[in-house]
Amino acid sequence: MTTQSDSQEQILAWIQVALTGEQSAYANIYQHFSAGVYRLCYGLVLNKQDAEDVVQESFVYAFKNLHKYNADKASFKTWLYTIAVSRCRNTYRRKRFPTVDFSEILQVQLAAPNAETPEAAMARRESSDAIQKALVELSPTLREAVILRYGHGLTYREIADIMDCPPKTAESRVRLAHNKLKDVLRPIGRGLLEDLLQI
Amino acid sequence: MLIKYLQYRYVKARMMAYLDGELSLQTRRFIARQIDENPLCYREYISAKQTHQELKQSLPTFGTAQDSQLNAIWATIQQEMTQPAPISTPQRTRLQPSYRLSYSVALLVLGIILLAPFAIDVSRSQPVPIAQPLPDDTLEITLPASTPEADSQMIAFAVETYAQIGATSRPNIPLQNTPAPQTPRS
Repeated sequence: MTTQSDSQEQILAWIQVALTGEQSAYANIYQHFSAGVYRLCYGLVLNKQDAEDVVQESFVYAFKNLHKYNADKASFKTWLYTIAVSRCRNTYRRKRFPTVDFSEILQVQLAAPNAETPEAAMARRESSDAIQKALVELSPTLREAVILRYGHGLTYREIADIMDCPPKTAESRVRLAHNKLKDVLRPIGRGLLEDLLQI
Repeated sequence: MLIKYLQYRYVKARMMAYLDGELSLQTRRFIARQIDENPLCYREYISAKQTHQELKQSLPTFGTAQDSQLNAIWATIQQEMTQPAPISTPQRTRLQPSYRLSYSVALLVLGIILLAPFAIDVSRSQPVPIAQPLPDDTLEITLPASTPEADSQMIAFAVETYAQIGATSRPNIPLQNTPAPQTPRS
């Protein structure tokens, strides 16, 4: 079992090797971070095509500027997430109106991962839809805060580094997002509980 | 009642930190007691805890990519990385329209500042009309009151003056209203 410091040492070793031009090191870095960066980007732009574009742009930028990364300032994950969030913000600015994903409208689903049962797939889809509807209601800033906090388990200091704000501001944004999501998610599955509490 | 409401506001503001276990022991105990004793706090706790759990369960898997997607992205990244960097040709620096506008305005102001003294001098160097004495005709002559004696004096003065002028400057000019002297035909 590898600890976090071991993981960080491993990443720094990959970076050193990648800087010599070794392609396998780039592949290792991509394998290690791509899933997380994709989840982050999808959570922010809420569109598959945009998320793929942003992930691609982020990794290309990171790999081309790998020599600029300073391990003393931040972890590689924080640096990479900062690049990705910045690219996502560019996407918000370019596309003021949300795009429509036709595959989602037509309910075209690819094969479920790990061959899950239809019931589990449906439950997963319903949960995902509910979360997506709730996230759409949030402003981009609050969405970034809540995705980084709950989706990636980052500390307030790490969120503050990525969002370029003080840690207290990051905490406040997470709390605001939490309160808004509480109101949005309430009608979905809270009716019974609310009734019970009122009695 | 007011104290309970204030306590509820205090608890609500710290509920997330309480759920994340980020409060001091003393604050944590206080909030736990409020949750037990105050129904408003209890309701807030249940609601926040459910949202908290839902977000913690749903968001880590929200938007999970499939391997095929990530492989396709990696292939594109590799293509882009292996492409030679475009040769950077020195480009002429283009001024933005706003810069051009500001420069033109600055030039215009500079031109006005430089030309203003000349314009002022030109206006000052124009000949000023010299005050001329009014012609005699326009002089107002106050006539004495019209009396027969005064009228006769005026007529006499006019005849005398006319005779003097006619003798000096207009010797050969016939009077306009008198016919020319007719000479007998031979």
